[in-house]
Formats: sequence, structure tokens, C-alpha cells
Amino acid sequence: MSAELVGVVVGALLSLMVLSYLIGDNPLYRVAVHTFVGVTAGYVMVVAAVNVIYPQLFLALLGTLTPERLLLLGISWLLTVLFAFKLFNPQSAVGRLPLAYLVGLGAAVAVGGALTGTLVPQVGATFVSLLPDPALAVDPLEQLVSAAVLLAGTVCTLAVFWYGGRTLPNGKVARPLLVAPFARLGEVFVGLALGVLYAGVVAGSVAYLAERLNAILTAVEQLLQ
Amino acid sequence: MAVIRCPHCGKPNPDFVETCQYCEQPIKDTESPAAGEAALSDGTIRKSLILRCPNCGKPNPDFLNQCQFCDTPLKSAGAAQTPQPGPESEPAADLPDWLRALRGEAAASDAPFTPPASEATHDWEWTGAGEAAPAGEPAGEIPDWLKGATGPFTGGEPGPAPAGEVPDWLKGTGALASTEQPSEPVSDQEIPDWLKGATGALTPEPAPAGEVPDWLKGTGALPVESAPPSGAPDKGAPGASTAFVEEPAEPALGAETPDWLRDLSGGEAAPPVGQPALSMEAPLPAILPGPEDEPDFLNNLRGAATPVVEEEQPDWLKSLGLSETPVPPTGSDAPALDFSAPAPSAEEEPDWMRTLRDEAAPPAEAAPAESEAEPDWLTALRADTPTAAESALPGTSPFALDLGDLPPSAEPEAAPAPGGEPDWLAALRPAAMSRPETPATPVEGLELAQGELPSWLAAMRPVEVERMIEPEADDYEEKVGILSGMRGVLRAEPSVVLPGKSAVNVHTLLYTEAQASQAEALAAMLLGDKATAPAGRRKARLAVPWERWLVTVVILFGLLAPPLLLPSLFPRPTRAAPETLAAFEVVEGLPVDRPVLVAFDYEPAHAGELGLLADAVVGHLARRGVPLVAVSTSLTGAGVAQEALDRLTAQNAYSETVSVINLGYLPGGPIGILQFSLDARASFAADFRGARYEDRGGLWQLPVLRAVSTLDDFGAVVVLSATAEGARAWIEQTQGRPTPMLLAVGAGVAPLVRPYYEAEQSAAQPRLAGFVGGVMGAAQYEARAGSPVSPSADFFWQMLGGGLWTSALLLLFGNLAHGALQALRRSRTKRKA
Repeated sequence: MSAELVGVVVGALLSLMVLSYLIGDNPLYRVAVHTFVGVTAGYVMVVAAVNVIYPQLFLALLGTLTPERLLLLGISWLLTVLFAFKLFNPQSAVGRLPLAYLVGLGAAVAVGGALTGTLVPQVGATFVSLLPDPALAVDPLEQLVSAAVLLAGTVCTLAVFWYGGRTLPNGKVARPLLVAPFARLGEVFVGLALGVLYAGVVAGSVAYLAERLNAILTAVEQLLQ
Repeated sequence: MAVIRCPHCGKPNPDFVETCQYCEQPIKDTESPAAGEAALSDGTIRKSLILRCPNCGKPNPDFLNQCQFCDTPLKSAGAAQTPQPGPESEPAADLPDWLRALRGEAAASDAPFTPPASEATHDWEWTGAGEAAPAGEPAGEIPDWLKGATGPFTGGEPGPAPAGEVPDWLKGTGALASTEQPSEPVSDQEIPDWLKGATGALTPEPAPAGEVPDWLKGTGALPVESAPPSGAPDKGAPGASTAFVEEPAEPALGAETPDWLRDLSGGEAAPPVGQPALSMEAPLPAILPGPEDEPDFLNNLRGAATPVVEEEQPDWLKSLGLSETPVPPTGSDAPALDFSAPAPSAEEEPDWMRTLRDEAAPPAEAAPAESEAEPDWLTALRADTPTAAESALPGTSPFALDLGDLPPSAEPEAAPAPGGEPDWLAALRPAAMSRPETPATPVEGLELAQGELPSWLAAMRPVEVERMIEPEADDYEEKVGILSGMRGVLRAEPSVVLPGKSAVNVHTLLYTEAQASQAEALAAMLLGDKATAPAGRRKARLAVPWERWLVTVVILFGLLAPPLLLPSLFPRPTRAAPETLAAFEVVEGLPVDRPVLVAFDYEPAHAGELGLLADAVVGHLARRGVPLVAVSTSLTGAGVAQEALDRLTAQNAYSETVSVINLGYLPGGPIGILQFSLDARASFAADFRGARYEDRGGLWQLPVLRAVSTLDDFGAVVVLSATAEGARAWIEQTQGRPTPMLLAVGAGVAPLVRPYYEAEQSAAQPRLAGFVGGVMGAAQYEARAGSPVSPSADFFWQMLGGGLWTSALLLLFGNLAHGALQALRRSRTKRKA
């Protein structure tokens, strides 16, 4: 029995053990889950140690230590040591410095990327011309409908998140008259979007299930062979 | 009644007591010095001295700091006061006989007086010890009458005494001398006036008949037949001596008063011989208790006083010339005391008696035996004090206060003679004096007889005011608690404490019907909560949920049925979507000398879908021979990448490090992507396996990485992500880079990532060159690429199709069924309503 077959068989068994949740929480399912969690945790630690900590902190000291390199290594070592104090409660406050540095740097990068990579392009993308572009190899009607739908969808979706309202005589609060119809249409778009997302999740789940079943069948087939 | 000094504290005490009434020490101390003598530290005895007041000139004892008459300091710095020797210091021969006799008796007493060493001897202390006994009597021999007077008072047994000498009146008293001399007689000059009249040993000076106050007349201290006293009333006579006048004026002495007693009081007529030397028949002075108030011993003295038969009288008594007298009346019938001096014969009369009589006689008659040697104080007394006939007061103490003329008393009953009784004395006399009628009765259980209040003390008793106090009738009957029905108990509910509700202004609660109904509903709810609902039967835990089982079965059927039962039910796509087609075009157009960065940002769990995408896109790259550099921002993605690369390159004869390398995990997320895009070499020093390739010059000297330093050096970036965040991170951090990017995402992520692709389509050269989404996209891509479809791939495709259709149908029919049920329930609710 080759290792590949063992792996396939073990995978199939674990899959069946997870699928046993169909009858409820049971020890097989618990074993499978705990196995997956444990293996994953171990694998992650090994990868982090082998691929990041060892080469970046220790192997780097063995290489050519230029002043820049030495400065970078010194800062890396300092932040690493300070962050290690997070393990000890009395001195955990010391680890706030590297954590604050990481959080701040990550937020800055994320905000910058969101602005330049998401907000601006997306806003720019909504500025579409209802007039079809002859340069595009797309049917002008299709372009028109697409643009209209895009425009309507954008505006109506934004109208859904209009939180301003007016008080009716019966005491209820309603959207403004100008916003209410667009909000209603926007709710349709939002629903559709959420539906598409859910469909994709279902499709992916089905794919995952199909792949697992295929693996089980393959393993069975190989065992039978 | 003699007064003796306590040998311990020096306070005066009656002679009949055994223990001092102040310090409760025995008075009869044989070891104490004699009266009037102070026991010094050297053992000698100091006699009391007398100091003359520098202001008034009155004699004062030396132990006093201030004059007892005018409160002038006696012992001042400038006072050249030399203590005058008291009479005790005079030679014995110079003393009068009576005094000498007293001293001799005292010296022979068995209980010598020992004054406290810290105190000087008082003025009227007996200092007869050491002095020669009177001539008429042997030294140390106490007259029988005196012995008898002290013996019974101390409780001692009467000592032996000649029966023939003891007067009958004295026999019954038991006042015979005992072996112990409880006390020593005090000198005449030391005895206060109030006491003088009671002792009988004094020489009451005759008071003028017109000046005798009524209160004194009745005392019997003055002889009735006596001439008015010649002398003026002694201004120094202590009116205080009669401060406690209680008894009305006693009848004057009658003919029954013995002559010797009458002579003592200063009358010319001497009592007949045979009369008792000391008649206690007359009522005592006002300061002394009356016969009814007197203790038994004194009453016995009076009552038992029987006239002494002449032949039974002792010689000394006979010498007094007392005549036989009948039994003196007792009680209220007892006449006033008459201290008139008897007229004993000159031979038989004791010297002291003779002296007393002489002093009591008018000054013309009185002839002191030794006028020259007479002490000054005595001379002064005689000069100051009135005669016996004139003076209505008994003998006054030389130390008595001079109160001067006193206004007449306001008491009508006991109006004293002008200039006689002082007003304060009259004012103190109560209007009505009641004598205790009941004799003293012994206290039950005790041998002691109950004491009787003397009249003068009884007069001081507050007048009882009878007030009618209604008896408190407690008829309250308890009504609450366990004591209900009982009377005479403390109230359980004090009426004072309990607040009562006001009957007026009773507040009524106004409420509407709606509020009432709401209150009732609330009450019903609360009551309903209390009611315990029966516990429903618990379902068996092993019961399988049929819905779940049904869905599972349907899905499994849908998954397995098409590939098994209905093969090629679901054909593979033949047309690709534009975005998928674009991706294909991009890959198809990539140069083979520039490596392509493939980011395997998905977990092993997503390998079922993303694996197909990876097989489609990366396989196309591998078939084209494009070098592949794999990275992963997921820790487990690096392993997935390695597995995919191994599977794909094996089919296309890819050699590692030449055509393909897996750099491994790229830490830092977006920061790592940004750093890698800026400086790829700084991000990795070794590959996924940890090889540094030092022998080859390092990792970045490998053929596949030699030309790579930044993201721009890659031919394209293919992002395989199962999450929208991973794809967005690559898109955002590589913004502005010219390297084209292909997105291969799952079906669920595709809608979220598609706007990025769509947004760049308007650009001339959009960075996002292609977009492949889901298993469908992978199938389209492979169909476009013309990849052969393996049986497993087809089987999988059929399963996927059946599963998707089954899921779709389940969702559809499930929602329809749910909607129908909801409508049915609403209709039923409406129908019921």
C-alpha cells in the first residue's frame, strides 16, 4: 500500500467521520474535528518556524551584515522580543509596542489600498455612459441595459441605506417620498446580490461535497482494486 | 451626762458609749493617756493649753487656729500669744477641791484618755490624770455616784459598790461603777452650757425670777423659790444651748426637790437633807430630751430613782444634807429638774459639791475658796455670768458665744422672758410638739430596743401633709397578643405610639375601566405564572431529524445519480464567459521567459473548487512552459501550492528551480504583498522547503528567480483565492503595477471580485486581465483551452451538475413550500379570527 493510497484512504475515512454529523454530534465527528484542528495547528507552527522565523531571524544573522541589514535585523529582533512578553501576564504590557506597530502599519496599508484600489475605482466604475461605446465589442443594447442596470442598481442600493425619515401621523417613521421608491428598488438589488452570493456559497459547498464524495469513491475503488 | 473624748479621733462622745460614734474605735482604752493629756513621741504627756484671742480676749484651746467666738486667727505672726496654761497645768494644790476631786477620780480611772498625737488636746478634755486627787477622797477613787453614772452606759456590769451607799434611785439604774472607767468626767469649764444643765454636775446659775423664760422654767433647772438672779443675764450665755427647746416649760421645782439640788441651781433654800443629791425628777432642759424621749437608762434613772433613806445614804451623800424624798414622779408628771444645790453638812459635803454650790449662789454669797488662786477664766465667768437667782440659764461655758441681746421670740406659747430666749430659738420651737406616746418597743428579732426620737428632734421632723392620692385603678384589659384578656399588664400597643389614620381626607384611587382591566390582566398573568405547567414529554434523543435525513438523501441522490445513472446528463460548457476568455487570452499570450507569480491563497478545504481552477489556469501555464513561482499568504496554502505544482509540473516535465519554485508562505498579509511587490528578494531567503541554495548563490540566483526582484519582473500574477479578502488584498496592494493579474476565485467569491474586474475594463490596459470564477469557469477555461477531459473529471462534472441542480430544486421547492404553509396558516388565522 503506497503512501498515496494510505493518504487517500485516511482522507476518505476522515471525510466519512465528518459526514457522520448527519446523525448528530458523535465521537467520530469529534475525533475527526479534533484531528483536523490539531494537525492544522501543528502544520501552521512548523511552516511559520521554517519559512519565517528561522530564515528571517537566525539565518539572516549568518549572512552578510551590512549596516542597513544589521539595523533591520536589530529592529526585528527587538520587536520580536518585546512581543514575546505577551506570553507573561505581568509583563504583557511590554508587548503592546510591537503590537501597536503592526496594527498601525497594517491599518495604514489597508486604508491606503482600500482608497486607491477599491473606493476610487469603484466610484469611477459607476460613472458609465448610457451611450454605448462603439469601440467595445459588445452589443450596444447590451451596453445600454448594462449601464442602466448598473446605474439603477447603484443609486437604488444607496437609497436603501438612507437613514433619514419622516414621521407619519400614525407614529411610524418612513423614508422620504423621493427616496422611498428608489429604496424599494434598491432592496431588490440588495436581495439579488445577497442571493447571488448565497448561490455561490451553495455552489461551492456542493463542489466541496462532490469532491469529497469523489475522493471517497476513488479510495474505495482503489481499495477494491 | 458626762462627755468623754475618743482617744483616737478626739471627738466628744457620751460617756455611756463604748465605741466612738465617729471612728468606731473603742473609747475605753486603758493604754491611752489620761484625758486632757496628749501622748507625745517621747512618752511624756503634754497638757492642753489655752490661748487668748487677741481680738475678743476669749480663751480658746491651743489647737484651734481661729477664735471660736470671733474667728480671729489665733496663731498669727504678730500675735504674741503665749498659750496660757490650762487649768490642767496648775498645781494640784491650787485647784478647787471639786476639780481636784474630779481629777483624782479621773486619774484613778481604768480607762485613761489618750488624745490623738496629731491633735492638741481639746479645751474641755479631762486632764485630771496626774493631778492629785481631791482632799476629801483618796486619789484615784471615783465617787460611787459617778462610777454608777458611767458604768451602765457602756454596757458593763455594774461593779461592786457598797450597797448602803448607793442611793435607791441609782440602784435601779445599774449605773454603778464598773471595773472599767469608760470615760472621764470633763471639767466644768469645758462642758458646754447645754450639757451643763443636763449633767447636774454643773452649777446652774440662778436666773432672775422675772427674767426666767418660760421654757427654762419648766426645765426645772432653776429653783422656784430662788430669788431672782442678781446678775444680769450672761450675755455670753450661749443662747444656742437652748436652741433645741422642745418641751414646754416644766413646772418649777417643787418642795420635793432636794435641797442640794436646789442649791446647785443657785437658790437660797437648800434642799432638805435626804433628798437625792441628783434629782432627775425635774424635766431636763429643753436641749435635752424629755423623760419620754430619754433612753431607758435615763428613764430608769428617773423612775428608779427612789429616795434614799437617810440611813442608807452613803456618807458623802449624807454630807450633802439630802433629805428623804418620796419617789419622784416619772413621765409627764415628772417635775422639772432642779439642780439646786443641796445643803450638806460642811464636813460631809464633798469639796466639789461645795464648790458647785458656792458658785451657784449669788456672788455675794458665793465665796470661792481660793479667790486669789482662782483661774482667770473662772473669775471671768463669775463676773460675767449672772447669779443663780438672776440667771435663768444654767452655767455657761466660758467658751460660749456671746450672742448679745436677742429679740423676743415670736412664739406665743413659749414666749421667753425679755432678753431671755433668743428669737431664733423661739422660731425653731415647733407650734405643737408631740411626745411619743408609745413607749419604745424592741425590734423584733433584735435584743436592742427601738430608739425613740427625742422631742427636740421630733420637732424637727417635717410636717406630714396628708394628701389624698387616688389609688391608680388599672382596669385596662389587653386585647391583642397572647396576653389578651389579662389586666394589669403593659399595653402591647401603646396608644401614644400608634399612629392613627385620619378619618378625614381619605384618598381614593381614581382609575378608569381600561386601567382596571389592565390591572386584572396583569394580576391574571402573575397568577398564571405561579401555576406550574406540566412538563411536556421529552423527545427521545436518538430520534433522527427526518428533515435533515431527507435533504441528505436527496442531495446524495442528486450527486450520485447523474454520473452513475445518467451519464452526460450535464454537458460540459463549450462557450466561455468573456472574463474567462480574457484570462485565457492573457495566459496564452504570456512570454515563457518571464516567470508567472501564482498565489495559492486557499485552504485545503477549498481544494475541491479551487483545485479545478488551478488545474485549468496553472495547467495552461504549465503546458505553455511558463516558469511558475508560487507563493501563498495562507500558512496551509503553501502546502496546497506545493501539491498542485507537483501534480502539474510532473505532467509537463517541469524541473524544480528551473521552471518552478515554491517560495512558500508570505507573511504579513497585505503588508507582505506590498513588500513583495516592492522587494521580492527581501521577502524570501529560502523556498517552501527551507532550502537556501547557498551552493547556487542563494535562492534568488536560481534560474527561475534570477531575473526577479520586484513584482514588475513577473509576467503575470495569477491569484487563486477562496475568499474575497485575499483577492482584494492582492488587487489593492498591487495597484499601479503594470503586471497583469488574473483572478481565479470560487463561485461564491466571484460576485464580490467581479466589480474590480469590471471597473478596469474601461481602461486601455486594464490590470485585471482575466477573471475565472467557480467550477463553471474552470470548465469553460478548459473547454477554451481544449484540455482533454478525463473520466474522473467528467464524473466529477456530472456529480457537480446533479448536486447543483438538486440544491437549486431543493431551495426552490423548499421556499415554495414554506410560502404555501405560511399562507395557509394566515388563512386559518383569519378564518379563526
